[in-house]
Amino acid sequence: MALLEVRNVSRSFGGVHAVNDVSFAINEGEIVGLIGPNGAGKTTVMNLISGLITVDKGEIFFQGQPLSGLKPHTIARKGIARTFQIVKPFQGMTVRENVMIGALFRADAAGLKRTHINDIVRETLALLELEARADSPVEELNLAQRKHLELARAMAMQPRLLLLDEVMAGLNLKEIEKLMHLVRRLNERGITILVIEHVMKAVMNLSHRVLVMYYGGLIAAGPPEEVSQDPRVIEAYLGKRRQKGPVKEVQQ
Amino acid sequence: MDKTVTAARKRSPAGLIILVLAAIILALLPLVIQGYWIRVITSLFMYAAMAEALNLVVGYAGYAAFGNGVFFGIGAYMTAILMTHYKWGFFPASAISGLTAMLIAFILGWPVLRLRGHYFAIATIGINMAVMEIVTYVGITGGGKGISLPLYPGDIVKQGMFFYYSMFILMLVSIAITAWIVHGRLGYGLRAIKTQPDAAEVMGIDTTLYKVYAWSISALITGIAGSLNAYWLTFLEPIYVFDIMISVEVFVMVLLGGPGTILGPILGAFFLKLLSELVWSQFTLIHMGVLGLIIVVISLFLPAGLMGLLRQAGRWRRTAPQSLGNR
Ligand SMILES: Nc1ncnc2c1ncn2[C@@H]1O[C@H](COP(=O)(O)OP(=O)(O)O)[C@@H](O)[C@H]1O
Ligand SMILES: [Mg+2]
Repeated sequence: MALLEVRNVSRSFGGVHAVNDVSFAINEGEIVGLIGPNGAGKTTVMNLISGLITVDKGEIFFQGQPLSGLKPHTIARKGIARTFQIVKPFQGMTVRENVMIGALFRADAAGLKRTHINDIVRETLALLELEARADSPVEELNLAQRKHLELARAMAMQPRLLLLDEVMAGLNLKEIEKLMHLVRRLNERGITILVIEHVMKAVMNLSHRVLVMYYGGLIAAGPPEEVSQDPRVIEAYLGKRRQKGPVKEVQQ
Repeated sequence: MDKTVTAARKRSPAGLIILVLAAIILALLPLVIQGYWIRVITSLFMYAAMAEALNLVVGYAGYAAFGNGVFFGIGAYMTAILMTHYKWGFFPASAISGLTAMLIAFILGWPVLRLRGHYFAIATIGINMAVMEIVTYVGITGGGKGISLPLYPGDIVKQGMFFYYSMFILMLVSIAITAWIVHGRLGYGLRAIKTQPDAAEVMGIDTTLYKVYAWSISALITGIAGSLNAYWLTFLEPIYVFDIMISVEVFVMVLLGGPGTILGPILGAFFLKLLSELVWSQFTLIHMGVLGLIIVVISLFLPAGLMGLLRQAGRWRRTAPQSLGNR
């Protein structure tokens, strides 16, 4: 059984078919890439999975259970964590307190001792290399650190499935490499990952499989080598970028 | 409700000592003051408790509950009705009054706290006005003519002491409740909701429930303040207890003292009340004008209130010797 199954899901905003009859499955332990040009509907797919937006049609299953009708916080407690493309740190709090939220509200939090929660926070800060900034207000972090914080908060929730929405956008090459390494480490810890990324090298390198979206529809899915040869994908996405010369990072 | 968690910030022992000293002084104050000033400080405690209660919603959850005074009125009228019509004693009447306010907040919170920003603020004002209308036109409340409560048994000095210490304890309890909330899951959840409700939701926080909790606890404290006030005044009128100016004044206290801090609203209440008592109590006409001026000054120059100012002063004091040494 797949860990996550998205079955014939559609969602429109007004007249825009943001997600149109999309189906895919993610197996336990995989890293799956989700690519496509801006406005293709990638973030909307994540919003639908995490419950921030409701589906118009179709159904999403997590560990065989339907998620429809559930509030985002209930979905989170089932083991789905996510980051936001536009980072959303809790202002007025320190880095440590931000990460603490993840540990405090995870499914098993009610049974955890205070010292245990502090341990989880400390370990997570170490894992995401934020120890040195632990007691800084989040306002003092740079973009790369903010992206790490998004990941740290999600990791403190001890998720089974992690949804990453363009965590690498806006970072330099060195920072991207560091994050790729981190994402792999998280995966090695047994976390299944769905990653939206515009940085082609990163997504093709990391992913076991790649899904390609275009105007709300899923136009290709498969191993990275295969997908990057697919003529429809080249036409819809990769080709356009090649014509424009060197790959530019797209930021929103 | 939940286990508490250590905050990342360390509590300075000096602050705690000052707090305990202040509490002892206030507890012993009736030995040296009397009459008029007992009444002034009693009302000061009442406003401080209400400001602390409002702080949970405004300062921590970030929701501008402009009409929070409605729970003050509900608490007052519930106590009046139970004591006059049903001959209840004050303490059970007061407990039920607080719980009624809490229950009403809990029920209204579900629809109303889904509204964002200004819409919520307007809705709370609407609730205040609607409840005032209901109270004015329902027979049991005495309507617009008002309602009298039984007098506190005992002489005037005993009476003064009773309300002084009751309000004092209410204020201390409101501080204790806030401190307890802030260091637990509810506090962390509310602070998260304040700036990033979506991120809070997807991290497992039931944001609606948490906001409803905060508002209900706020209503409980405010309702008991209203109940005590009713018994103290022994006469109620809808236009007095549902006066929107009560809400406004308490709101200013929170902003002035420092929203989202444990002691800020208390500080704000003391500052505003004492200032108004010492400086312009004689001039009731300019009272509103000065309040308005304070609102403008806070929003322009003191976004973090007096607590923010104190914190900044503390930072300067700590850094100043170092910079001297570097020279
Ligand atoms: N909350 C929303 N309200 C209205 N339109 C939206 C909303 N979210 C996304 N859209 C629209 O849906 C389409 C897909 O957006 P999105 O999922 O953000 O794309 P991507 O993440 O692939 O760049 C876009 O046309 C976008 O404008
Ligand atoms: Mg996007």
